[in-house]
Amino acid sequence: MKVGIVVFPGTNCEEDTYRALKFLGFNCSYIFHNEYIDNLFDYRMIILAGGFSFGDYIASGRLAKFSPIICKIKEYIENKAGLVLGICNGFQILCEANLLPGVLTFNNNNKFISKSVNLKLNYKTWDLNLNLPIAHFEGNFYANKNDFKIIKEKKMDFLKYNQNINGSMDFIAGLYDNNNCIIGLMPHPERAIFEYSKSQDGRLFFEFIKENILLKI
Amino acid sequence: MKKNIYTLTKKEYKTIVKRLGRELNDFEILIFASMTSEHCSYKHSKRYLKKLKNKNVIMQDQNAGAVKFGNNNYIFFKLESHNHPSAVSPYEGAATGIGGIVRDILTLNCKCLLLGNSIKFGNFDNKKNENLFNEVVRGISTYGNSIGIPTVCGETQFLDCYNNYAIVNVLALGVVNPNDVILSNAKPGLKVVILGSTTGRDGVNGATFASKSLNDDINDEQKNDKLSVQISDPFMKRKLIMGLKEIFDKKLVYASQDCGAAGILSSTSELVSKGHCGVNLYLDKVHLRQDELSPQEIILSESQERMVILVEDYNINQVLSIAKKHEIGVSIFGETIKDKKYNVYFNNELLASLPPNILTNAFEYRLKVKKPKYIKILEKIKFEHNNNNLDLEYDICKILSHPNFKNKSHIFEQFDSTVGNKTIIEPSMCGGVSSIYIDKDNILGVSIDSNPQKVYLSPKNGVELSFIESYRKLVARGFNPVGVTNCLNFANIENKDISYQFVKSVEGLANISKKMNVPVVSGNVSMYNETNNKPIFPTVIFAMVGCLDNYKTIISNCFSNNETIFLLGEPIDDNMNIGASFYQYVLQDKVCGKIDKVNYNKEILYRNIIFDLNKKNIINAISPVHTGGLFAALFKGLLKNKLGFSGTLIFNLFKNDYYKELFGECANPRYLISTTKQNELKEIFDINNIDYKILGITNSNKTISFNKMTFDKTLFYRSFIDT
Repeated sequence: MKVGIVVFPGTNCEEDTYRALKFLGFNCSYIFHNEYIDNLFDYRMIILAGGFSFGDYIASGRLAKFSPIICKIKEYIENKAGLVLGICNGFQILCEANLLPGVLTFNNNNKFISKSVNLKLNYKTWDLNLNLPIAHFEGNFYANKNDFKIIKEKKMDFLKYNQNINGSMDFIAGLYDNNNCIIGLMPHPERAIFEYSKSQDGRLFFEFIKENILLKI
Repeated sequence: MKKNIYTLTKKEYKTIVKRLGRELNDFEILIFASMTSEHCSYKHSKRYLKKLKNKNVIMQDQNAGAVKFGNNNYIFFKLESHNHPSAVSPYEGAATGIGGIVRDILTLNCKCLLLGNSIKFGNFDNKKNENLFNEVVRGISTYGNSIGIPTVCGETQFLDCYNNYAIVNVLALGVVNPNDVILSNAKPGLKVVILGSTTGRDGVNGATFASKSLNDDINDEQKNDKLSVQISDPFMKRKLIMGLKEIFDKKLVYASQDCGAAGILSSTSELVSKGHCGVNLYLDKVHLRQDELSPQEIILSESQERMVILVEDYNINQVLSIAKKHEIGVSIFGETIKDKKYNVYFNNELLASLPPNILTNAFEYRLKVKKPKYIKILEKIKFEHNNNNLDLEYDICKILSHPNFKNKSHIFEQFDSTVGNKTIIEPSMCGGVSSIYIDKDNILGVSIDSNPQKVYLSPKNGVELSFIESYRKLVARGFNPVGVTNCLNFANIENKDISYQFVKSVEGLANISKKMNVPVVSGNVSMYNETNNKPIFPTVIFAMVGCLDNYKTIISNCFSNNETIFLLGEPIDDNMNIGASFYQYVLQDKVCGKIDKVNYNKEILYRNIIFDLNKKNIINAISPVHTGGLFAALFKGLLKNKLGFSGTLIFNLFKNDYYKELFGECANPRYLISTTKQNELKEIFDINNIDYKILGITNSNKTISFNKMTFDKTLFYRSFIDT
């Protein structure tokens, strides 16, 4: 299964994601953000990896949304060519680019938080308890009334923190836009794959992605 | 520019003139002032550091040294200080400290695998210290997290001697295939290329500024000092990491050197001096942040995120196009030549022409050494507790809740410890060793440690004891120690007491590293660490690396329910010295007594026993005894599962000073071992004639009890964990 991992200047989780997905049997390649590409239709999944795209200056993800690759991703989404998955900084970019509702702002303790957290993944028949690492400064999810209504109506809030670690509205850790096939989440499932890691729950997460989404597209 | 000359004395000036056979022009004086500053030239320490040379270390003369790790890897690692900048501008100082050490590793074409730090401040009763602390942590967090390298280990201490000041030492470690190492030795006929950020006015004179004592009475000078601190740009560093990787991977670089202290000047002069050749530099060709920079400022600027690489003519175009792709600035500003001359041009005018070997190796001093009075006085003071009127419960809580001992999760949770996806052991409340996966047969363990009070009391034995504590921490998790790096932070070296501390510390380090067969891979010296003429304690930081061939054999550091706890080693008795133990400082604010010599053979014997027991699957967890003594080690073992305990901790001194036995730190090795196979373990110890005691059994009760005293365990856990 072909997966494209998008690299902006400042992205720093591309190798982590590559190694993890390769281990899970995906066929990965990097896509540099300003590289010339006709379209992305060959890929079953496009991943926006974690990091600090363009230094996260001004606000996380705000500059990345102007990159040429974002147009190609929009085209990819419109054509329903596959899944777009944004992890951490990728989630922030998706929100900034209006591909997912809401925004991610500074954690309510105004500090970077790096630790393992317990999460609940709830979608249709899937009900998983996950333990995944988080590592972010701007993971505090907020949506205005209108956006929040949309989230609830479309049941987008598929991933929630058990304890509200960063001040996120309604404990939201990730969103899944089922119609457009877009997922964004703050935790790092790619860092919980290998046997030597503290948790292997990332495997469950990608199993969910594979069985529930990729096989149906 | 007058300020610059403050590190060049008249005598030194005369010596240089004599060696050159001519007077220097103003520009050349400036160059010499920077290059002969303590920070760049190590003129006071060089002679003594030679004792640390070890033939098992690979490339000791490069930016960092290495040890072989497994069959196909070199591990390069180094600690570096950034105290002066951090004291003046804590956020930028700490951030650029990491930037600097990462470049040292990067320039060798290593993949940087981990970061660590050791930070020290004054107590929080002074608001300024709290601010310094918060800003330093924020600097490390912002910079370290952005560049995609996990911060896996660290230590933090608060002591009065660091009042209004900050010790910021940072560690970086990288791995490389031996065939791919890129050295910093030039040869003639190469283009000199500067890669990365623009050169600006920040950090001009950083090297000379870091070679004097700071004094916060003089406001003018402080303003000037602020300009000497560099500005960090982690985003540019990330781009530089990615761009350099591509340039290195395509083998386009002949030699490389990071631009750190004294900027272009020191990086280029070191390149040509190591390569026994010369260079023509054209400073007007360097890409600048602002116009109107003088040549002095260009050559001395310590603007961050820059590297100097030497490239063959035919590779230049490829280098330029990779730089463009990654949006990194680049300029070609010189070429190396056969003639051993360091020539600097600006707009076609020759500003300086000097022999590189004098530039990089001008002075070497001998220090005067005499045992200071204060040590003689402190050694004689006896530390005793009167057993009447003791409130042990209160005192234990006081020790556990002391900022230097208690839970540090509020610090390390601000550092991304899992990026890189190779972290096996993350930082935890128990402290100790962290671990990184290199490949399936090579697991790396690392620990950072220091003990300023012990080194203050007895420089030689104190350093040996700090060293051995790192050693024991690694052994306790099953890692075999293979190399160590160090950062020696001292006060004004021209003071006799301080030079004694320094010389004896280095002696101790050289001795124990040889005895334990753990070579000193690299190091850094930082002098003149004082404010208002108050010297800091001699602060010797160690970062030790150990190896293991299978991560499944890592030994746990937390006891489980219903296990028997053994003490491997002897309980403390009347004859042992416990000078500068942590509890003495916490309970009575005293640093006194004597420190015994480390017993090298016993250390090695215990290591072998532990590895053997681990292989035989007889032990479940180990907690080494160090800061806080026997009780603290037991507490840390019980901590994760919040267990109770019942047994004996006092064997010898129950009649007189039992605090000594509970909390004292002696030089002999001691480990707490938990097991469910107590009979087998007992038999092995008995047959081999090894000292041990059975302390007791862990349980799920609400209490921790020993020697007929019972305490509420939740009280202890709360003291330790709550912030």
